[in-house]
Amino acid sequence: MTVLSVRNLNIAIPTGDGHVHAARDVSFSVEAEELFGIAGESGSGKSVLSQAIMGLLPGALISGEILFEDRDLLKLSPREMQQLRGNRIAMISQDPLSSLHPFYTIGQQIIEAIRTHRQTSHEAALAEAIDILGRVGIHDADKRVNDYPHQFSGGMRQRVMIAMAIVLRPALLIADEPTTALDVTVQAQIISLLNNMRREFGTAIIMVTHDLELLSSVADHAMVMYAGNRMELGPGNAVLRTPSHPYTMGLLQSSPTHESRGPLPSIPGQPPSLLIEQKACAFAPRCPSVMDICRTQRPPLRRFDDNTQSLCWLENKAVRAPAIAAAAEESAAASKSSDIVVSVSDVRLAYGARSLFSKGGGVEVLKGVSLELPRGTTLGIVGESGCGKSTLARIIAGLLPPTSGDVEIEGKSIIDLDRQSWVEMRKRIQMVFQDPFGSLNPRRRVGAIIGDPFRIQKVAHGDDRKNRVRDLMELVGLNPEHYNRFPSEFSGGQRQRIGIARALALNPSIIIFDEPVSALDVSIQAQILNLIAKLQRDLGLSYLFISHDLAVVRHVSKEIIVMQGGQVVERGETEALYHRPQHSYTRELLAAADPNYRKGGGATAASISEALTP
Amino acid sequence: MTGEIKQRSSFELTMRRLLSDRAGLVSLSFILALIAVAIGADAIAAITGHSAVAQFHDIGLTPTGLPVPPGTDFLFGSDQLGRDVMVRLAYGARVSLSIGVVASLLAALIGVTVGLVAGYFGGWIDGVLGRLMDLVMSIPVLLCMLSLVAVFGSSLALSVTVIVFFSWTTMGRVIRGQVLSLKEREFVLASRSMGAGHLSIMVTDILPNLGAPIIIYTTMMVPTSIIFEATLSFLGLGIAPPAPSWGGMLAEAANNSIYMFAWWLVLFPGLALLLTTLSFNILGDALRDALDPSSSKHRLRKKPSKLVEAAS
Amino acid sequence: MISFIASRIGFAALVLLLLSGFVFTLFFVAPGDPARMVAGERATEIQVAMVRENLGLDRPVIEQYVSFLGRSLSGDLGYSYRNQQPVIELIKNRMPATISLCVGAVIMWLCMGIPIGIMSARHPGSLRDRVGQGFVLIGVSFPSFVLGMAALYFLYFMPRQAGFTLFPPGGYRPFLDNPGVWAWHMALPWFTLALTSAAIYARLTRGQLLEVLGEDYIRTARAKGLSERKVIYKHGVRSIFSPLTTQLGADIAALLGGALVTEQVFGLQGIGSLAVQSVQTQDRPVIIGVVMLAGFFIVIANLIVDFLYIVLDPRVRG
Repeated sequence: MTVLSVRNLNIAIPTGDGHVHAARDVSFSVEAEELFGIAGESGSGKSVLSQAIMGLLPGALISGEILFEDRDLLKLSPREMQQLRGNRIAMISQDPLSSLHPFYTIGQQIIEAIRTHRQTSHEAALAEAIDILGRVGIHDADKRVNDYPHQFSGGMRQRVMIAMAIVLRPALLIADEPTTALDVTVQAQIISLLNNMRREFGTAIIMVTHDLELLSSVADHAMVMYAGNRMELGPGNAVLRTPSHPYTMGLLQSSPTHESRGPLPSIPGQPPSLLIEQKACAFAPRCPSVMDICRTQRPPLRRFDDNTQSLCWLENKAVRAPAIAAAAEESAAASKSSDIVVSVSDVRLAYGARSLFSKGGGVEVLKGVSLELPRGTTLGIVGESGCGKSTLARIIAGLLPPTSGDVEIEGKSIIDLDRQSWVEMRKRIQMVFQDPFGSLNPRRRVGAIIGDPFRIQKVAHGDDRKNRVRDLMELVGLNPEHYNRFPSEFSGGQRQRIGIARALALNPSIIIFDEPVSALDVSIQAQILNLIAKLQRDLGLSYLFISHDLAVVRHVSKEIIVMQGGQVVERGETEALYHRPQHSYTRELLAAADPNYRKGGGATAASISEALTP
Repeated sequence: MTGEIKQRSSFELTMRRLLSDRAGLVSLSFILALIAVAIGADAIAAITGHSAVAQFHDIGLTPTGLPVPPGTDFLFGSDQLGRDVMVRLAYGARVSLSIGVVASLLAALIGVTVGLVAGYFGGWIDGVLGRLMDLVMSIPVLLCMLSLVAVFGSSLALSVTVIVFFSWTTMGRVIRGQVLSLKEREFVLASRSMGAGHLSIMVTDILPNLGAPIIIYTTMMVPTSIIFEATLSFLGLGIAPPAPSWGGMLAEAANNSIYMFAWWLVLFPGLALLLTTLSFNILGDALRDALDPSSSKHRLRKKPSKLVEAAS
Repeated sequence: MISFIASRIGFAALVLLLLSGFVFTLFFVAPGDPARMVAGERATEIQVAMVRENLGLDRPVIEQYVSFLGRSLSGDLGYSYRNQQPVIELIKNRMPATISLCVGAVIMWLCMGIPIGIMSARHPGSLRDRVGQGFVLIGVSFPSFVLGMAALYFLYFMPRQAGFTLFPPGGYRPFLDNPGVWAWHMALPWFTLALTSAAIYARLTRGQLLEVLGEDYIRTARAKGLSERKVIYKHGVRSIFSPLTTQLGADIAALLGGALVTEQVFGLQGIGSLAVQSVQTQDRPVIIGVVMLAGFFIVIANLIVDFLYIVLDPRVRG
């Protein structure tokens, strides 16, 4: 039975700069109990699409049909739509903390949802709320029903959101990036919970996500969107294993999840602006198989034997890009010498321990961490949020003094340096930050930002400085003519290049990357990872690479350490660690990140959730 | 999105937005005209031949001793002592504008400094400065002014001091709040990791990002200071008569309810005061819209594009 | 939370201590001989000396301050220089007018400002919003005494010229005598005192509500199928109580200043006009008494606001 059928949907949102065409001629249908995945990068229009189905896009110009249980949602009155929302169609969104009202208990919020659509007593609704909370895995539901959202952990909040969404047994649940804000082990639990719930209640789920890997393990059908277009649609396995569209293929290949080493086959360029009217294929400028006709005419819909459909001029399925010659896999020259550039021994950090007012011993963020980084190699540090990996990075960079322990950079301790030697030390070690928006001062020009290290360290003046900045811009693949632009004029990937150029300015020997690609889309992420690898080869740099994403860390690192709760739980050569994990936590991380594991769902996930939730 | 689209500099964009705001332009023109009047007060006095304190008992008062209404001799009428309202108004503009601007600038300077230091260093420094701001805000200002005047007598310097003392906290709080979030941004950490000192970070990294709130709140403080000064003068706590000030003129008009029979005594200074504060407030709003388009008016237009951003 | 309450109470005590220190220093250390003032211009040196001894003015300053603090705490604010009445009595007589004025004005500005702000925020950019924004601009620009004089001119004087009485010219009528007459007399002063704050609250309400309405949990409320009314009032407006409460706390000190001006304009025999008269007559104990009392009220009101804040926001409760 078809629950939802979207036909030729066009969405345009009026803004100050013109109309944003968030969806162009999009059609798909969702069957009962099905998990339908919508994948796409930022700006692909996938979230706008889900909001259009909910009827939550005031002011947008929408044409086409959205048939839900045989009624066209676009023709319903606001009042009729309101009666459907929450009752027949429910929604959960990315950030479970901001999605729950901070001033009402979760019980009040669930009861409100029930009593809005059903005539029932407060007591009956309360009983139902407790029941559903128990089903989604909240322990002591009868007590916790009176708690406020801030008293729950992130994963638990998302469970509450799910409980509130499915309490009225809706026919359709729209999950907009339901796991993006959560740690990888919690992600697996939430996905398996959603999977169980749709079987238990017969609810169809539309899962909107940027994470192809996640979809490939659970989606019955998948749709890939790019710049408002439905590029590809078909059975989940077919789309995500043997894609038809060059864009899907590009996305899959640029995620460092395969056994790949060396440069990733990235998609060049940037996604187009949604403000511009499209007459041809939106992907043409970035497509490896582009033909002349792609640039002039809108592509036709191709259907293939495995039920995939692709919006493309190619008559056959897209082909895998030839693997880029694994360029000098072991750039072994440097790593032969066992020269240690960073040596961390038993570093501890505790907050509040010295405070007069704290009664306990304070919070220990780092509980004795040691590591060594050989010259010219990359050491990956992986762990979930709160494990202390970013704090460790700041201590190694000398930005935060440890409570005890020692950090040596090229044989010299950086603890208790005087101001002069500290400033001098900055030339040896630099950092690249996660947030490409926050790490560049929006009020300063790019030339000034990249030249900052010269200004602060008082080296290279006037034209000399300017020339060096231009050289750096060229080195990281930026156009030196953009010297006088402001950061806001660059895209996320370009900004990260600016950040890297700035880190390179003083010719450091060590660079710490703190989640350098986690804010970027997959296709851009591959470009940056390739740049980082190229710079290491060319300049013989040593990297500390911090990330929550095992696939990324695995791709770039020679050695990996796994952190949990302020401690190193496992360390080893990358491949050894992946194939023969010793510590149970490493195994959990690996299992949670493995798509096949997710499909298994149920029992194993539940046992982990028991083990992990405090 | 940027590629081909030629981006205008932020200054140019700001000016374009500002110049397209008609209410803001009218306000700016009024303020400029008022400044001209204040500067040219002596000229106005010379042309009319009436000094600000001269009392014209013959032509300035009716036979029954009442002020004369607006006419050829006195364009805006005369007051209860037979003085020219228009000339006094022009001199009053000097007092209002200079106190308003000087007090606002001083208060902004103190507020920005304190807010920057408190927000940047945090910890106990922030605790102490934050408490200081709380303290100043929970003092009954006018009553303190009353006590000060009771002891020292009223004076221009005292007025300015009191206005500055009690108005810097608004700016201080705003700046502190902004700095608290700015210093968490990674570009500050980036500067630090390159070896920049505190002063360098505060001046080159943080201060340029505070331009908009500083300009907006300083502008908004001017009308508040002007009203403050006028209120002090109205209560007889401001600058001492017979020197003309708008608040003082209104106080004299209110005395024995003389304005009930001589409406011009309230209308002109009241209107001058109202239009001046209104102009500064409208200008402040216009500046806010131009410098910080994400706030207020432009919000509606911005919202959908936020949705698109959220479509990640 | 307990430490939060303790720190707020400690802060309140600090405010009072500093305020008392300020007025004490000002009046007892500043030039001018209080004993001479009490005794009068024509008193002989011996009389002045007797007064000095009676008032304890011959003792060390610190000792005077401590005993002044002690007396203040027990409610003894000394005696007026002018008519030798206890200051506390003078203030008590003036209290009803000021309290009526302040409480009424606060209620009025909340009832005006918040709905206008909500109206603006519900339809940003609409005509209603622009009307609301216009109200804000005029409200924040109108000096209260000019507004009061205009109100008197148009609503009292002009109707009277035309032969009927719309509003009284001022003065205070006790509430207990006739609540109707009391409210009639207070209407213009309330409005005069309330307008500026109403505008500020409308602006604050609009800004805060607009921000809240962009939050994810408002989208959740809509996704639940709640009516727009419920979304705005139950989920949106609920969230702006806390910032409004904070603002209210910050406004109490300013409120007393506004009351002082309003009392002057409308000839209300309140505490504010008592203070102004005392400055003109150099009656220092009365001024000190008024300042101390005002400080006391501000501190109490701020404490109430702090507790209200805890009640309103479950996150503060921990």
